Amino acid sequence: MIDDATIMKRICSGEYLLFDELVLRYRERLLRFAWSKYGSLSAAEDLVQEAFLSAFAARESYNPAFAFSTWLWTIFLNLCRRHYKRELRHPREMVRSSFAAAEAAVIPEPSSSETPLQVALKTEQFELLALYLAELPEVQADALRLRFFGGMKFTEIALTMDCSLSAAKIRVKNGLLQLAHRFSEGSTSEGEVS
Amino acid sequence: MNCDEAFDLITHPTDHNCEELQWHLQLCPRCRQMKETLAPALDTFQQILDDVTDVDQLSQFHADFHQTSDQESASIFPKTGQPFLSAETVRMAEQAASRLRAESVTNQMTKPSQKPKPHQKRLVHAALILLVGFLMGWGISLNGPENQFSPSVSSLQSQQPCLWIAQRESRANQPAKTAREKGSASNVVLSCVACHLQSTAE
Repeated sequence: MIDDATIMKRICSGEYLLFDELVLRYRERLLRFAWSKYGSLSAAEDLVQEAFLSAFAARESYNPAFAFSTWLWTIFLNLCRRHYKRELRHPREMVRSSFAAAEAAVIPEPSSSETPLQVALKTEQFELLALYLAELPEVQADALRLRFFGGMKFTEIALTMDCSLSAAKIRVKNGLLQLAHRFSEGSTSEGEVS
Repeated sequence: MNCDEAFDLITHPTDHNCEELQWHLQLCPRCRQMKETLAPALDTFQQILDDVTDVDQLSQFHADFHQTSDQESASIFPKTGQPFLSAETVRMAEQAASRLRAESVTNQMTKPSQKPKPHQKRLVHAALILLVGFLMGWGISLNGPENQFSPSVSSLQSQQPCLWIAQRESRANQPAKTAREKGSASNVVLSCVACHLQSTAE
């Protein structure tokens, strides 16, 4: 498998179609990050697309001294922050409304062996996680998203978030502690109701 | 594996069940406790990551869980037909590249200077130990009797016979002690020191 830096080098020399390979490598992780952050898949797709386009447009500024993934994530995180600032001007409430809000949505035929119920449960779990992440301080939530959805090392998280290695670890640890507490609260209250 | 590395693996998206970590958890109650505390959050992340291989699969039943309207979305993202990529975004990418380049250059510059650090530390430690040893030796020499090492005294004492022996001999010869002999304690000490110092030096 060709590494990212070599692909970027070849793209800079004119093999533009190779950029597809980079999109395939990173699209899903970026998408999951943005979707868990904003709840809107269409907004997430737009952000991911914009990040790839800006990386392509600024390809000449890329230097193999740093990892392409770190660069892409840094661009993406900055785009997300800009998007977040704009969202603050038009605040919207995040709710678990997947089925209620989707009355008009056509439920597609399942393409895998999983039952619709299983897929629905997974979606619900993902939504709940996204909801709890939204309650955390932004830096902690972003560090968690980078670690789990981005699959990044702590050193990469530190570089992307422009903080020290220990700060990156502390953000992940504190975020997880709060998240675990929130999940425990949720399961306790569900138990009480039943 | 230390606890820091264990935390890396506990929070690792894929390697969280590796044998090395399990071994560490068996031995370290602190990390075991940490993993148990974080379990509700970790399990959720790991279930989502293990089960869902494709975001598109998850989005089969997707409906945005933001209460967004089409109008609001349109205000955030450019309308169709407008250029999607703005100059601001490209500038953002270039700034990120220059920051990362600067950091990688800084890291490369600091790395070689960091390498000899342990060696330098060892040298400094050795120098410090030598200095402390020298100072201690000097301090001891100052605390000791000044005339101990005086060559004139030692040579004088070495020429005299040991006063204890002399006293014993004189006692045998003359049973009555004189007052002068009683008060000559300092002479006795000096003679001892002179003899013993000489024998040590030899």
